[in-house]
Amino acid sequence: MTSTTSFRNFLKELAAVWKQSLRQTRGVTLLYGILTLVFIPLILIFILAAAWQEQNVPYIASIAAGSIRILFPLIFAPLVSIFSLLYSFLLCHYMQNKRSVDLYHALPLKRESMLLGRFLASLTVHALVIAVNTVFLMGIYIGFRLHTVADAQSLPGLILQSAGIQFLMAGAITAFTFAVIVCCGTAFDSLVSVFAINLSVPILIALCFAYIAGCLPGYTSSIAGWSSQYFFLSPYIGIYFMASFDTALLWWWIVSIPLFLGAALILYHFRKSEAAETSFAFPLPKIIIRFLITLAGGMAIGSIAQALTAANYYLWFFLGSFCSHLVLEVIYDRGFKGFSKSLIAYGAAVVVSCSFFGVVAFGGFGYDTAVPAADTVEWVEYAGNGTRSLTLCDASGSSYTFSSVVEDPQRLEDLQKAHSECVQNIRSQSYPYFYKNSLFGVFFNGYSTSPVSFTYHLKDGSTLRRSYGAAYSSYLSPLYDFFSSSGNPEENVYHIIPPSQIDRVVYVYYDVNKEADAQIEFPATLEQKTKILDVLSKQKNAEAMAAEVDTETTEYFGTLILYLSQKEFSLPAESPYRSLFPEDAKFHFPSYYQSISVDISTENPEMVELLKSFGWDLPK
Amino acid sequence: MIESKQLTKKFGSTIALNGITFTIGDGSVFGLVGSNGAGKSTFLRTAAGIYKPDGGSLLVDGFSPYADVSIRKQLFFISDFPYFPSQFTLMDMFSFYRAFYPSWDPVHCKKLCGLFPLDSKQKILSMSKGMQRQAALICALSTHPKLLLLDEIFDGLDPVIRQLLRQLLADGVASSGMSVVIASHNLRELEDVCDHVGLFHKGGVVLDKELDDLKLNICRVQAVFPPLPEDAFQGLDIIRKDTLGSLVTMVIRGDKIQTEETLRALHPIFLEALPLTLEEVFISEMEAAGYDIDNILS
Repeated sequence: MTSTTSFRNFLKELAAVWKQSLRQTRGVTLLYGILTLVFIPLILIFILAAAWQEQNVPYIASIAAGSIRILFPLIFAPLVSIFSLLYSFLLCHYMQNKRSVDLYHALPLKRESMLLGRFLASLTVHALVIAVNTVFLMGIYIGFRLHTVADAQSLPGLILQSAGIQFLMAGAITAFTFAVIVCCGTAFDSLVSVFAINLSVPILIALCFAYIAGCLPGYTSSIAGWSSQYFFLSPYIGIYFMASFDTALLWWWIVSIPLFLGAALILYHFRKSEAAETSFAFPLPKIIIRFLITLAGGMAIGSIAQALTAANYYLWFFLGSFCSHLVLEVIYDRGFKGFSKSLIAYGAAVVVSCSFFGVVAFGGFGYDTAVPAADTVEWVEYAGNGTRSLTLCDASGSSYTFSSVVEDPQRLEDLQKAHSECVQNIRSQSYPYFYKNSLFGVFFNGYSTSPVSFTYHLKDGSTLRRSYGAAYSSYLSPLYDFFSSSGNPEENVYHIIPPSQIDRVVYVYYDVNKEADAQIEFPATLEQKTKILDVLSKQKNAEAMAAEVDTETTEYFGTLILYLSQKEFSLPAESPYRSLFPEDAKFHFPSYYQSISVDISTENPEMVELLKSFGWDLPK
Repeated sequence: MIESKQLTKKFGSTIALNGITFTIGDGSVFGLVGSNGAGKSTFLRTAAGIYKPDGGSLLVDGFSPYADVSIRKQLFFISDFPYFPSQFTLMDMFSFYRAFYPSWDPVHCKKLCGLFPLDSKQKILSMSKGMQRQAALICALSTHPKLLLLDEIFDGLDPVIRQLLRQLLADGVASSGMSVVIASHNLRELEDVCDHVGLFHKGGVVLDKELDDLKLNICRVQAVFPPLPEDAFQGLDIIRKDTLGSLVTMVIRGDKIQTEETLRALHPIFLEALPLTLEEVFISEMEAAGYDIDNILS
């Protein structure tokens, strides 16, 4: 009974705060609504009206879809983030002002209802504005008769999805900002902290990965380059990824709202009223933010300075981290008053960064030398210079890369030997591993231009991945030899393509008489397609790598194009890749992957012989 | 009733309230006096539930105002600089408080609006300091608080409004048993309205007494006596004695009539017993207690 009454009182308080908050921000809400309506539906109307002159509804539908995909990340996302920030400060600023604290904290209200009511008011405003905007967009959809076009049937879904994403991110941004404001004593410190966290976390993560990738041989990461996942504590940036339909963090943002809000409510419960107009209400957030900024600033300045001047990375790292620490400390303390005390925190950051550099320099706890014994390995997938790989999509549209595989015990032993040899080559030349190259090179290209990468699938079910970038190519000849010696069809990725997936077989060549490209389509039977794939699979990597054709001596000079079907197929029963997917997993070639090209020349005698054996005439 | 037991409040290394123990009874008008930084405002904010005590306790009717929301419904605190949200008019403030105080009385509010010369549709932040305090008072009294906490409330009010405020406070105490705690360093203002006073100094309570006890049990006597023996004033509790020629000025603790009778028995040539102002009472009491009063009340 008591708890029911208490809950009722809580709801009453919540409703009262919610109403007051809406009332307090009605002017800003009006502005938000007007700006949104002017910038989204009105712009769309102008765009579609211009396109209307074409009198081509399907064309207008495609313009509408394209515009929505652009307008949401380009205009709606900034509006949502700006107004989320504005609402958060308008509604929570009271706790950062001594005079307003006297008013609000003396009210007969629980602090939880005071904050939650404001959060709900902020969400209500966003919901209202986004809903009105969505209604207008739907009106445009019907007004321009886009519903009559089959291709535009997905447009309402796109509008609703975009609106949902904006609302979700408005919630995440608001909850995040509330949590930061509760931690800070002034609006200025809150604003600095919001931007410090949003920028420092992704920069620090990205530069740490880049540093490891630049130093530690064989390091690879499943999170490659500028991943949207780095922005899990940066909702102000994350909204742009989400608005562009990069939904890698969708579930995180859904979970983040109760997490950030819960943190804000708990911290607000313990926040002292006298914390208003001080720098921070709690000491820990300041320590964490300063730590992040110190390290991120150091790594960023170190990387930039080294990239521009080829200077010592570590020297610039320490200089940059000290400057970042100094700047943030001066901003937070409004001067140098507490600077000498803060040097302890800087010292801690230096110790952490030195430990990080040390761990990487000395091989990351044996990461650099870890090569599994051949008898512990089930199979290995590898990709490298000259090896083939295929990209396939599953029913949900997720894409997977399939590379060459090694299962044969002897070949596994050979691989283990070759890998160990490479590891020793690298270690003897560059241990301990300090950073010498430009981080940016690794950062933007390192993952994608790795000449060699492979994944050991171990018998205990675990995997071990290694990837060696271009910087290590001079140490990798044992692995290159191993790849080029492959002649086993099972090792070649083409063996997973069912012959029935080949729709058409076309030979393209240069017609010397007509001085133009010409082509012949061969009426290939299933048996012929099987044989073509078989020859392709038997080709050693070394042969596949021999891309250069001697134009002087070659008898044939053309390309055989195997056009691929987009229909679904299962992986062959014998493929080890099957163990990575559900039993009934089906794949199809992505829309951009429409054919396989095979060079036909005297350098490729098996294929030439095979095609000739079919009685197909190959113009010379 | 406010019960403060070993109440301590710190701001960093500064101790604002240092183990304060005293009680403020129901239906009283309690004046908190003391110099700047004595801890008056901190005490009021703690009593209003704004500050959480760092040590000891402060209970209003047995409940902690910081932890217990329900008791805050019976309190109203007007700070030394009352805050109003920007763009809010007095009407907006009424609807603001009406939402949070179940005891909000619109009829009383209307009556108060008639007493205070304010435009309820004018933005409060554009009003003068005194008018803003009047606005805060209308809001406060409209909630019929059981405990009204006022910090430097007389500051900026004109004499007419001060008189009106005294009247309203007296009415509130008489009609609904409202308790009022007023913090001020202006003893003259408190003298007219308080029935109880406490003197704060450096986070502690130096003195806590009923005003009548203080004022009735002390008087200033100016007299001219014929030559008297050394021990002529024995039996009188003389706090202070100054002699200027043959004129003797004494501050004597005790009943005024009895003191006068005792002195008349010494056949003075001239004798006059005068009541002390609150400020004079405090100065005398504090000096008697050995405090450097100039430093306390400066």
